[in-house]
Amino acid sequence: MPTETKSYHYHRPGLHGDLVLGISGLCAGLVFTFAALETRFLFFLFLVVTTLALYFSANSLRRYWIEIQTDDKGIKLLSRGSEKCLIKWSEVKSIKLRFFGSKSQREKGKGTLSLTMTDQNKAKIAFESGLVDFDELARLCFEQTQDSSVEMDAVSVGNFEAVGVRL
Amino acid sequence: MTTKSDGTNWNLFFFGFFIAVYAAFLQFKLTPALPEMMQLYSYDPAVAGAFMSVYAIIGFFLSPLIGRWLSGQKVKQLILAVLVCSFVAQGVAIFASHSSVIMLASRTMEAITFAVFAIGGPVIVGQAASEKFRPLGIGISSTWMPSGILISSVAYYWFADDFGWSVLWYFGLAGALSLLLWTVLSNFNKPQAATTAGKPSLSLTKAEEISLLLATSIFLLWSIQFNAYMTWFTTYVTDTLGYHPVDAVWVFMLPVIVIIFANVPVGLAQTTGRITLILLTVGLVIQALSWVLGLYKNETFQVIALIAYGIGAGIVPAALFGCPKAIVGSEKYAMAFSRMMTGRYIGVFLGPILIGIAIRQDISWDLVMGIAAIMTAIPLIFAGLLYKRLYSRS
Repeated sequence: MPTETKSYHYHRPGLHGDLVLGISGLCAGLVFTFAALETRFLFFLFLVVTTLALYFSANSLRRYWIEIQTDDKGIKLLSRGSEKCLIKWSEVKSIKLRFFGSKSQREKGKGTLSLTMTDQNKAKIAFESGLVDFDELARLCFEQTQDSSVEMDAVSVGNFEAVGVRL
Repeated sequence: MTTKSDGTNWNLFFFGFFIAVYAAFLQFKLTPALPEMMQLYSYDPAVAGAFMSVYAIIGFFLSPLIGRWLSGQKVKQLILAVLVCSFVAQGVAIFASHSSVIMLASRTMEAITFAVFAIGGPVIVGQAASEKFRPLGIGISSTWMPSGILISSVAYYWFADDFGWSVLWYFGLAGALSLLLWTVLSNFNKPQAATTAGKPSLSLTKAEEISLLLATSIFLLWSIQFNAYMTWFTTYVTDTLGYHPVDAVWVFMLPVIVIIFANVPVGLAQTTGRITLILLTVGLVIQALSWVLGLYKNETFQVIALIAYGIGAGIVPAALFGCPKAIVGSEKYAMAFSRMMTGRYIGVFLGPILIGIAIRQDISWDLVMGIAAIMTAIPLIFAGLLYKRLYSRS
């Protein structure tokens, strides 16, 4: 059981990279959209691309403020220092670990892992492998929820093994 | 030789700069003169586009050899030979300009001079400058292209009314003679090779190859739109906006002057690879937006677009020249730089020809500008990916 509060933040250089890519994509999308004002199909296509780039940029920006805290009672999600969600270890209902990426990325240990925890009140905390010490946090979440009857699918079990959890 | 106590050889420093400026002058003297030449000799637009594109073909094939030649012992002889080559080429062009075939042959010979000086100039400047003056050298030498363009434009503006387009070719002859004299009087140390000659053990990793591919793609797409712009802009201004060819040169010069002012600080600012890539991204954003602004037929927007284009066109190439160092470091710089230059030469080749074909097909300038905007925005995404590849993991 963790005896002290521990904080996890997203990897800053990774966030800078995402933000530069997001803003580049957003600017490119805006240029595409304005250049195609006369062609309705292309205009809407580029508008969708721009919206996706905007979402990606906003999400990257949001992660700068995200902090995950764990202690012996549960796990907390904070944004700009204020608590947004709290899940007690004893109330975790389901835990899901998903991998996003290609097969070759998986073999090379690249790609993105996303861990989602839900409690009985449908409160949800989700975070990705861009967090510093993500594997440690994933193992902790797994260990803390082993005593209760937590729902976990086969895909998640396989992914937990990949981050070093001994089942 | 004028060597000061800090170790900078100022004679070679300025010689390197001026041969690079002369190279740009050779290539871009066509831009202000082209509308008048088209009126006089009715060249086929696609062939006129090839007057520029031939520079790219020659550069693409000769660059590896030039690196080797520059690393040899006969640098002085090489420079003298290509200066004679440019002198003959321009002399022939003056007397046989009515023939597009002879004009193309003349431009091909000039392109050999360009290819040697475009690599040799920056290499000589870099070797002549001491550590203290190297950033200044990079900053100043990155202005060679717009400086050459500006000289050709100003010369045309002042003298074309009295002497016609050929005045620029006479300037070219005078430049060749002056540089011949300067070369004869100078004592050359062996410049460093711009290629990997003598360093066979260096090789690029797969990650570096992918990053270089991104950077090369950026250079390629950017060069297509930039060289299309530089070749056809005055034609657009005279044909579509109704300017007199001499007045069109003034409009053309506005972004070129801005490019020079943007070049030097960008050269000096590149203290880290991160800054290089951020500058590249910012430059591409500005330039892509300027194409979009150009679509609006409002005089204020058009002027803003021209200034913005100049700022972007000043930032992007200076940042692109810093990319090889950001990707592979100093040791493999030459190898990476030569890879990236292939992208540039392909862009230089395609840009003017594509627009020439578009003009022949009666495609509207608005559509051309829209495509150019998209062509500048795609490298923006590549620049973002490159930043993420290089600096997201540590």
